[in-house]
Amino acid sequence: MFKSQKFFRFKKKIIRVIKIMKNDYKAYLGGLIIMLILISAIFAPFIVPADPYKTNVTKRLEGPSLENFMGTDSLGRDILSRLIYAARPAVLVAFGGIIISVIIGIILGLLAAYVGGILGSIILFIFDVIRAFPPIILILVLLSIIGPSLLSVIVILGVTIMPRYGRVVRAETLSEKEEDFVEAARSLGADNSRIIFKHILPNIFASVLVLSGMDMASMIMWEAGLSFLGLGLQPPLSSWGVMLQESYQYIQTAPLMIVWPALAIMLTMFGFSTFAESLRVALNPKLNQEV
Amino acid sequence: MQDKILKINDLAVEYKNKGSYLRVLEDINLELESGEILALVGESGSGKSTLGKTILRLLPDSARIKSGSIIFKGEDICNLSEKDFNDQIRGQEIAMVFQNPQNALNPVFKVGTQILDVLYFKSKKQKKRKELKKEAVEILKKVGISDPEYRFDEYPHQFSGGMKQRVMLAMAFISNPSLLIADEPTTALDLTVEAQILNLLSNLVEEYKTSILYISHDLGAVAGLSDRIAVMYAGRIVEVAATKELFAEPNHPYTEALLKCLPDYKKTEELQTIPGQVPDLGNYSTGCKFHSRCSYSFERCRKEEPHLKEIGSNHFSACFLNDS
Amino acid sequence: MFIYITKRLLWVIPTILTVLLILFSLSYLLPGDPADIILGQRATPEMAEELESRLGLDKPWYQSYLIYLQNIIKGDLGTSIFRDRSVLKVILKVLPYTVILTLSGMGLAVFNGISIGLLAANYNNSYLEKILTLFSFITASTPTYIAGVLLILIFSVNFNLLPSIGIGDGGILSTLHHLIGPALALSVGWTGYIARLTRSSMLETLDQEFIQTEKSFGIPRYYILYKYALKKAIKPIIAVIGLGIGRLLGGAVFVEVIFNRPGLGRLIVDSVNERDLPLVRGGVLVAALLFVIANLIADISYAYFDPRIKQK
Repeated sequence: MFKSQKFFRFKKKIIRVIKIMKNDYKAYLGGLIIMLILISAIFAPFIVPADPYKTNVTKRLEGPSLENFMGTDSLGRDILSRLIYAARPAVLVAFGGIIISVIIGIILGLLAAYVGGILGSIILFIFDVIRAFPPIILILVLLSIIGPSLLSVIVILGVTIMPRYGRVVRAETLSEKEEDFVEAARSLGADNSRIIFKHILPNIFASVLVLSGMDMASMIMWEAGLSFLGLGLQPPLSSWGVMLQESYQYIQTAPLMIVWPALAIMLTMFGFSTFAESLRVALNPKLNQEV
Repeated sequence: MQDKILKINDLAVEYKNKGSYLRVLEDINLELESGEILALVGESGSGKSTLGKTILRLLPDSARIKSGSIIFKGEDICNLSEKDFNDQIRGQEIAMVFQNPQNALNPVFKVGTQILDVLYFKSKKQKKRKELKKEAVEILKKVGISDPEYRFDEYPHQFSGGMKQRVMLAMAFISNPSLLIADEPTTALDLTVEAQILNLLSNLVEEYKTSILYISHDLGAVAGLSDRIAVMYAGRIVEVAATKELFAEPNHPYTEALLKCLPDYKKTEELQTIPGQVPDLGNYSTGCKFHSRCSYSFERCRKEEPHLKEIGSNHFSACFLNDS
Repeated sequence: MFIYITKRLLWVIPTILTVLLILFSLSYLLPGDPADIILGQRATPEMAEELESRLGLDKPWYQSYLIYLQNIIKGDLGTSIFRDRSVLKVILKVLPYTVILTLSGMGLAVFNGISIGLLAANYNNSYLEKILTLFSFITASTPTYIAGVLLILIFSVNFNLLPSIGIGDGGILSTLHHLIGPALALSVGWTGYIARLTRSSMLETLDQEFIQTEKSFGIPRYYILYKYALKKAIKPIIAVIGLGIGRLLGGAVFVEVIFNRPGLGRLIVDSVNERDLPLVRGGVLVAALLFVIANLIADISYAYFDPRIKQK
């Protein structure tokens, strides 16, 4: 009985949040863009106008044309098709990286807050050590140790961002721990792990959700940046960042080419952050009052 | 025959809240004679502060005047552009003092600076601030602040509540306004200080011949001050009458109930209350807004909205009881 | 407050030590035989031996680590393998460029950001404000390297107004000329953030009661904004500067590579690519130190402006 009440209230909260977001143009705008990217990633083989791997040396570096809407790259491949296919690593990086960050962050954060003591201090210390490095540099160094590949990029990004979630989860858990309803639940004989997790988790859920929206945008940005520097994905693997790197070499001769992956990256980031912003406003009761 | 300095016709004000509009003021009809003190009385949430702010266009951006007009000295000031309104009306013809002097002054600037700013703009940026300093000090002296030259350079937190309110009154009267809107100026002050401030207010009014719209939640407090009283409930005006007449012969059930709630020091009965709660701002039901708490309500009260009607000499009330 | 600062400083020391440990262990973590990878095929046994002793690989790790730490305290960060100079010297030579770049970027971001935010707050609820807000949003979600690339595309390739490479030939004008593009690119992401921050804190201040009082006395809106609201609204911006410097330091890496400028970021990237281990260690150490200091400043300014933390 107790558990189902909690869940019901949680569901009500979700309904309320959705209702607020329905009125917010940002939710639609961001959501639409995210949908677009997801569809490109999932259905890439079905929607590409041409074979992204097919090279055609006679048609190198051509501008937009009826055949190739965005032109061709240095090996004569259709840019639009490559762009669509490159949505895949972007999505994988964004979601994969976030999942790793969030899961590890929540686990460590809960441990640190709940167990406290030496373990808590050690965990906090780990966070601080990771945060001592400028993210780019940490990612660079770790990549040089492990070697660049899609998986290593995802894992390294996940680990690098993880402290943010760890700290937020820890802070919120600490404050929730002191809340009255937790004391009340405990006085009713609630078992630490079971019911209190059901209390605390829904509350930290909101902050985590908003943070992950913004971080997904950041992860896409970092992967692209790394690949742009030549330190991320390596050809023949392709991502927007790799396309950016390839286009950069030809910026004098085919300036338009670099615009497409740049726009793809910016659009995706914009979509994620806009959606996250609308989520943030909807989840925060204080910001809801306009009167 | 005194002319009416302020005439509000059928004013309705709305707030935008998450896509829909909340009607916070409805059907407001009010008149103020030149030189008169009109008290606007109501509980929290009745909309009285909102009405005061609407006159001076101090509402947040999410609020707007849905319909109606505010005629000041014969001109509808709703039609003025923001620039004109600011130059001609605010701080010039109409001034306002607020409830909470603690928050009314900007804490990071000296008191003198803030007075100077008002003087500076009043003089239409003609005079230099150095020249105006003397005037500012004079003003401080006039409202009873001792050591005005020294106080000039102090910060608001170094002033007491009463002193801050004096400064507010001073700033309000700088340009000799024809109308002063006083939004519960003494609510946040101690009783003894309240008496001083009210005294100062009446002195200033006598000197400057200002009309006052005095907003308060305390019927008892305005009894000795106002010429007429308007009672507000749930965003509407429910009764308007001369002070003595309102106390002697209240018409609207709400007014009657309010008067009953005033503690009478002679009797030792229980304090009276009105059952029920004031509805949330903008969240009103159909029919008369008071009917759910009214001991006289009948069928018609549930369905229709009563309007202000003249039921005696200069005595208005909005109640269906008067129709039968 | 003082206690808070001291606590934070004490916490920093073990953090830095662990960072050093991680950096030190790089020589063990990097895959492959360091001699092979770093020196390649032409490595002679003597060179390999010398390399190993340089990297501390010939002794047990705790000994090497101790020597490593001792050297660092003495200020010796090792010797670069490929440039054959003291790591410290190499770093110090390029560090000023990064500092100048970061500060310029920060200055631009703050100046532009506040201006945009002010405009948006002044013309609240108008079309101009909606455009400015959209613009801030877009710039806030533009990665530094894309800003750099686009700037080069527009101003160097298309209009030939700005140089896309290098730092100039030393003269003030040339240096500035070469600084505009990079600094602008660096500032773009942060500008959007500052603009939004300015706008929202101005609007929040404008909502407060004393603003209403001043408005009621006929003081015009622009005056209220610039004199009264701005002073209060500056606080959150200052609180956030430490954070910004940290971010910009990261972005400098990209800008230096794209615009082919010398600097700490570029140095680290190059040394990672070359596997110049001592240089990597030294460079990352300095970068981490700067970053930690920037974050410390950020934390302290947050604490300074948030009375709740002050009381701890």
